[in-house]
Amino acid sequence: MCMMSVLVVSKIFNSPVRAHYYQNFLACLLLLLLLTGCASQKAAVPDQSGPRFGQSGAATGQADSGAYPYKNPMLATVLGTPKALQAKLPEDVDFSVHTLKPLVKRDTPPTLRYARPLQYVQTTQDKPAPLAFIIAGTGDTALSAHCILLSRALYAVGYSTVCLPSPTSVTFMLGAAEHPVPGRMPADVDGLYRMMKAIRGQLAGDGLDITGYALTGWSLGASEAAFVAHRDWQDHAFDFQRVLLLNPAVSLEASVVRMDKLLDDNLPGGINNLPMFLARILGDIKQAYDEDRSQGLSFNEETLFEAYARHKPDPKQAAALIGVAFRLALADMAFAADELTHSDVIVPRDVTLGPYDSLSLYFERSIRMSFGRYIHELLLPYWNRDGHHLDMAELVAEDSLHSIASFLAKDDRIGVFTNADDPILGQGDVEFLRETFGQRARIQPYGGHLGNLSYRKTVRAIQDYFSP
Amino acid sequence: MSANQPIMNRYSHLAGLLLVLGLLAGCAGTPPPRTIDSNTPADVPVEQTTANPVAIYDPLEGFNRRMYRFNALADRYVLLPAVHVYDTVTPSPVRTGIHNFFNNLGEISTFANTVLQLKPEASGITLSRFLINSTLGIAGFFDPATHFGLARQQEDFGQTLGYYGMGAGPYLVLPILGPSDLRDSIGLAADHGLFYVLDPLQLDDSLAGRIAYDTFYVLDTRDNINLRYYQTGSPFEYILVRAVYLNYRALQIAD
Repeated sequence: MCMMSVLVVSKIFNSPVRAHYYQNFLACLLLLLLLTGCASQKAAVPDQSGPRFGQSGAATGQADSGAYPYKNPMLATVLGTPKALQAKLPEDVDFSVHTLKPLVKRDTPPTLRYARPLQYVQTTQDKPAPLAFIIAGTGDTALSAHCILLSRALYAVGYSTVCLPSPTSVTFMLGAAEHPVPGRMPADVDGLYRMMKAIRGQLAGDGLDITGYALTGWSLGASEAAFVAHRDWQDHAFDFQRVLLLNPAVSLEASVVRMDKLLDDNLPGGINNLPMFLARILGDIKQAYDEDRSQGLSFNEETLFEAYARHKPDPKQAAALIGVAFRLALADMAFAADELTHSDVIVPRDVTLGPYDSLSLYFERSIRMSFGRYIHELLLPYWNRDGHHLDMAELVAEDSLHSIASFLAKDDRIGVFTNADDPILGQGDVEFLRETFGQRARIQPYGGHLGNLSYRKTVRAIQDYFSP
Repeated sequence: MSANQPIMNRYSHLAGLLLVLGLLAGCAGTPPPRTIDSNTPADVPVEQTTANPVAIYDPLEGFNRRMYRFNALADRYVLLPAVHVYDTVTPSPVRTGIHNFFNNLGEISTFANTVLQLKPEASGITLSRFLINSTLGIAGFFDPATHFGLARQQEDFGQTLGYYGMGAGPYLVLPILGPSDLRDSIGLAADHGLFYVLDPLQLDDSLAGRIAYDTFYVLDTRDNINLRYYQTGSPFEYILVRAVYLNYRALQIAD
């Protein structure tokens, strides 16, 4: 029935208010939603419905040993953690979605009005407690699955939590960013810091008793967390007791070049062949599912995912998927930046789009934009719009953790968790993290980009890190 | 048990209806999606498939986009608050029971559609589920059948029409119900029509019963849909949801 189908579509999303959600592999795959962490949306929360056919153990063949199963970084990133190996976290955490008044004055283009209001997601201890801020990764809002996972992990060890949208999300660009063309670290960190202060003001108004602050984030959000910590080290607005970077990018520019390359190298025919690529994946899913029919599986995302995981997807296909997922997040960001600044790159300057106009043409233009083109056609021109203020070399330097290496090396309140095979890192990056953080770096050999985030050992390590 | 007998009597009506709709759809429809096949890319122009998110047949896009926004607002201001009250006042085991109850009634139309699609195994499972859950499961409030290894099947009249080759037709966003297409809208009407005609709960005799049924049906359905409009955060959510809906249905029909 139609409602059933809506249900399926809906599983892309999860409802923090109810704080229960489902696997959504198929939907996720089709949407190629936002981050590479997309696949672990389905992995974020253990399902409580009990054992089912062909679950995890069979899917990985290694569940008994309890080791993280996917040794290929691309597969790890796309498949996440099998359910049997995910951390068990409390189900009964109350999430609430809160709204902030816009932090900047700006007219909302009709095409972006869906992204109002500016929201953050909160869990609250009923006693005086420390507050952990969680910064979302590329393109993600505060309502993303990793936020929910981390909130529950930290709530379980005594924290109240607040999830913040990424500066690369449309909602943040619209409601919180003074400069709505994300990618310049100092400006993005300004926006985050301002939003955190506004939230603190709102929480104080609610009479919340906060005993201290902590900070974390994943992916781009982790890199931003490092810079926020650095800012706070001078400004002392929060004096974070602990900061943890989860799978950060070391050099933003190098990471996005790597994502562009993932797509170029692994998507046959380039982005123009995206429909054909999607058709092929759908065919593979169907095939994988058909092979499992002997087990009498019913047709839903969960069983499809299990079939697909058992089918052992081609790493090259997984790599292309990761590239496409990043590309989709970039398409949203590029379109919004163009609309907000009238840059004439995607939407012609003399076209005013109404709220119900078809966006097909602009979707096609946006999805074709690489990170490299974004930097050269939107980001740098924005900063240089009235003269020469920023060149590529400066931008690259500003956006790199190397620029705050001495701070990261000496401040023992900051740690990093990542994987040696994370596709957003290069060889030198892993060495840099190891040397800079020393004992405060936990670098696993496998897991790809956030593939092992919901793995029980990772979650336990995160909880241990934040425990007194 | 008693509910299944009339189905057989009406079987011929449904088959007739199917034929008529099939003819109708021949005029209205695009070809059935053919993307769900590993060999597809070689012989089908991809522009004509559901795998191209922007090539989907959507002549009513203006209407659909307005309806999408209407649904988002209705959801935020009416449905979600109502569901919140429902969640607050009803203990979780009761909600699960109610959900099982509606699922069990849904087996009637699932059964009809497995029969129409000539899937005897699925028919057998569905019939067994209905019998077990209606008796052992106390009128469907419990779901012992799943514990016996009988997984719930998902077949609806939209899938049946697709099974017989009817194309999806134009994409449609239905009020409140959300993403659909012409074929699935017809299927939805038929499934609900079947339930209305069979009237297994004898709701015709009781206005209060009908209102209670409809209210709980809506609350339960929304409660079990984890959708929040605009949660993708993407300005292209309409395009993405449209692609996901049609591809998922294509996969379901290919099943």
